[in-house]
Amino acid sequence: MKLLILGGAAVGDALARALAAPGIAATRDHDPAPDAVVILVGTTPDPRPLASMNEADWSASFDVPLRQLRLHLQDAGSLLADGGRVLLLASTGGMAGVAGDVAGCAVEEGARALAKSVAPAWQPRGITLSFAAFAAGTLAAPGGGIETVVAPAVRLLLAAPPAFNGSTVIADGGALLAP
Amino acid sequence: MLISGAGRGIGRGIALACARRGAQIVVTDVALADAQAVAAEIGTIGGVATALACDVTSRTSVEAAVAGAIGAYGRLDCVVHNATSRYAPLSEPLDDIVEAHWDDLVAVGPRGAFLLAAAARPHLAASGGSLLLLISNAAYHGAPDLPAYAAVKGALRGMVKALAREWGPAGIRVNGLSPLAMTPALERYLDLYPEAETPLLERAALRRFGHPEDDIGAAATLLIGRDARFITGQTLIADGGGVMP
Repeated sequence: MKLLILGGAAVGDALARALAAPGIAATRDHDPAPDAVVILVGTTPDPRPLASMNEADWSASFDVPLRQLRLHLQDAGSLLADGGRVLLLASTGGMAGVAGDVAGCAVEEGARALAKSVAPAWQPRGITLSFAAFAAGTLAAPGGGIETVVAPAVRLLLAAPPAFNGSTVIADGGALLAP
Repeated sequence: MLISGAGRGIGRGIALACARRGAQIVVTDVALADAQAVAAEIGTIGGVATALACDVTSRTSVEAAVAGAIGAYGRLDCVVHNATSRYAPLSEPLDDIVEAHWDDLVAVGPRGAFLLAAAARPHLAASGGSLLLLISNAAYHGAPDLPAYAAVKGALRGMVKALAREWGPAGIRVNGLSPLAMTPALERYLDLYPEAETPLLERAALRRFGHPEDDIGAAATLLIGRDARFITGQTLIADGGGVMP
C-alpha cells in the first residue's frame, strides 16, 4: 500500500516515517499514484488574538491554509482515480474553540465542513474520507505524539469500513467528549 | 446594533425584528439603495434606523460603518454579520470551484467577520455587547454541490467558538445563528436547481422554509437580547428541525 502524506512540513515528514512499515510505503511523492492520501490541515504559524491581527496576518493564518487544504483535497481526488482512502488530520481546537487562535479554529472547522461536503460526493467513486482530530499539541511538532497517537489512529482509520465516510473521529484521550 | 448585508433577505428580517423590539438599527449593505429602503421600511413601523453603505471585504469601509454607527447612536451593543457572497448559491463541486468565487466567498464571509469584529471590539467591550455570525446548515452536514460555501460557513462556526472564548473575559458574547429561510438567495438557488426544493423541505421537521423576519429575525432577537446574557459560543439552528446535532 502506498500512502501519500500532504502538508504538515516537518510533522508530515515525521508521520511518513512513523507510518512506514513492511508493505506500507508512506511518502511525500505524488508519483506513482497512491492508495490513500493523508492530509494535515494547516496550522496557524503564529497564533494571536484577533484584535492584534492585521489583514496580512489574517490572510496568512486563514486564507492561505484553507486554500492549501482545498488544493490538497483536489489533488487527492485526482490521484485516487480508482478509489481509496483520504484522511484529514487536525487538532480539536476548531471544535472546542481556542482563545488566541480564531483563525486556526476557523481553518479547522472550515476543513471539517469541506470534508463533510466532499465525502458523499466521492463515495460513488469508491473513496472513503474521514476527519481525525487530536488534542492540541499532538500535531504541533514532530515529536508531539506522531508515533504514539497519530500513526496508530491513521492505521486504524485506513482499515475502517466505508461506513466511516464523512465522519469525525476524535482521538484526544477523552478530553473533549463531544457528541 | 449594526447588521451587514441587511438590504434584503435574512439581514433585512433581523433588522425588522430587532427594530420592532426597540433596537436602533444601522442597516448596512454593499448596495446603499437596498439599505436605505430597509431603513425607510423600519421608519414606517415606528422604528429607528440609519442606512450606510458597507463593503465587508474592505477594512476602510467596515471601519467607516462602525464609526457611522457610533456617530449615529453613541454606542454599539451588537453587530450581526449576515453578508454572504453573491456566488453562494452557485453549484460548484470541488473540482469545479471557480477561483474568483472561492476568493469572494472567503472575503465576504470569514474575512468580513474578522474585519467587523476587529473594528467593533472596543465598542462591544464598552457596552458589554455581542457579536452574531450567520452560519448555515451546510457547516453541519456539508453540501456536496456547495463545498466552498460549506467551508466558509464551517469556518464561521469555528470563529464563533474561538472568539467567544477570547472575548468572554471582556464581557462580549459571540454566537452563531444557522437559518433556513425563503430569501432572495434561496429563491435564486431554487430557480437554478429546482430539484433541491423537495429534499430541503423534507429534511425540515416542520416541512417549510422559515420566514426571514418572523422566524429567523425572532430567533436572532433571542440570542442578541439580555435574556441570553449567559449564552456564548453557541450556534442556534433555526431551520424548522432539519439539523439536530
